[in-house]
Amino acid sequence: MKKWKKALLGTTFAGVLVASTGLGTYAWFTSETEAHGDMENGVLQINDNSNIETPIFSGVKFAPSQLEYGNWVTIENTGDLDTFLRATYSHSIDKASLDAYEVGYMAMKYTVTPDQNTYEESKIQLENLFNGETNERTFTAANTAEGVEFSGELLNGGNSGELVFGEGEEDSFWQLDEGQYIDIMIAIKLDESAGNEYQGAQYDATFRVIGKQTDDGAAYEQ
Amino acid sequence: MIYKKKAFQLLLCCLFVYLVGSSIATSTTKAWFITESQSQGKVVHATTEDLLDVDATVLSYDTDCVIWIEMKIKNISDVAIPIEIDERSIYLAPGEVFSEVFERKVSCEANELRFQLIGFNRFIDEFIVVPLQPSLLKKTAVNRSVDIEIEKQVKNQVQTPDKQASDLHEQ
Repeated sequence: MKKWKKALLGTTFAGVLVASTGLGTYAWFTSETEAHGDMENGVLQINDNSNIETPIFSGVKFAPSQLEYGNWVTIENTGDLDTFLRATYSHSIDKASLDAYEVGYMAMKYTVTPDQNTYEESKIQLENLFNGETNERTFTAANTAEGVEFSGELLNGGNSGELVFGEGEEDSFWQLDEGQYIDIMIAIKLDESAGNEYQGAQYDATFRVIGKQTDDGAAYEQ
Repeated sequence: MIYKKKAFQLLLCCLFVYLVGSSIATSTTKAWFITESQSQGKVVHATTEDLLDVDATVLSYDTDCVIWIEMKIKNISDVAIPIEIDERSIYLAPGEVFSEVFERKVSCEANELRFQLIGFNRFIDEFIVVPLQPSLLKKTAVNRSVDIEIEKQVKNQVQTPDKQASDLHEQ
């Protein structure tokens, strides 16, 4: 009889405990809140990731001492991130040597397109790098009224097939912020000392610009 | 001994996991954005024919295999060209013409006469070949003069385009 009483008592207690627990959970106050967030990646892009259609230059009947001016070509930051640019110039010739060439460029960085006079003055500065009396091989300036920065250089890479025009760093010319443009004209000159082996030769060149993020550790190669 | 072997295998296993993990981690750090654009250019160099218009003609076959040759060289480029011909140095501006009559005694058996033409620093370096008529040369060997043109013009000057124009005007 004692065992029955104990069993009954235990079962009753367990039932009460389960029932009270079940009821009690309905008695708690609850509260809930949520926050949603979307994050879009920035777009790092120059010239819509496309190549420049305008050739840097295209010439025939090129002779010693002659200066061949190229076309103005544009690099536009079409993304929404600032970018550091690495601008290089690769050239080759089907015969003879590259050391008879001088390569120069004049570049203008702006947000609002400069007037025609500014382009013409830039071309004169480019000619001065080749033929000027000062023997200066670089040119940097800023026209604050027009909001234009200028950068130019005359290079002779010897027999090297690649010349580096510039590499971006903080506040340098080759940092291209969102909405900015760089127009660049490249010119080449064949030295007067070029010999008979240059007759009829074909000279090819590629101007290449790579943009990378401005963050620490970013690289130009993937 | 068995414990040592198992420990070594465990160590190798850990090293393998570490290397695989680190290579994956390294590759992910290269996920920077980059963008690229480029443009091409091409220049074809001149040949002598692009720069100079050369005309050499025999004016007459004189006695004893002496010939008179008129040479005209015009700079048809837009750069000034220093040239050397027959030990003479001339600086030809764009459009300018060098004109001269040369007298040469040649072999009576010759069928051509060559003049070396040099321009710039030997960018132009070739021979102007003037074909001769051996039959006419042989006639001169017996002291007869054979005129090719009515007048034997002896010029020794460099004519500019303006000078040529004024000459034409006077005519």
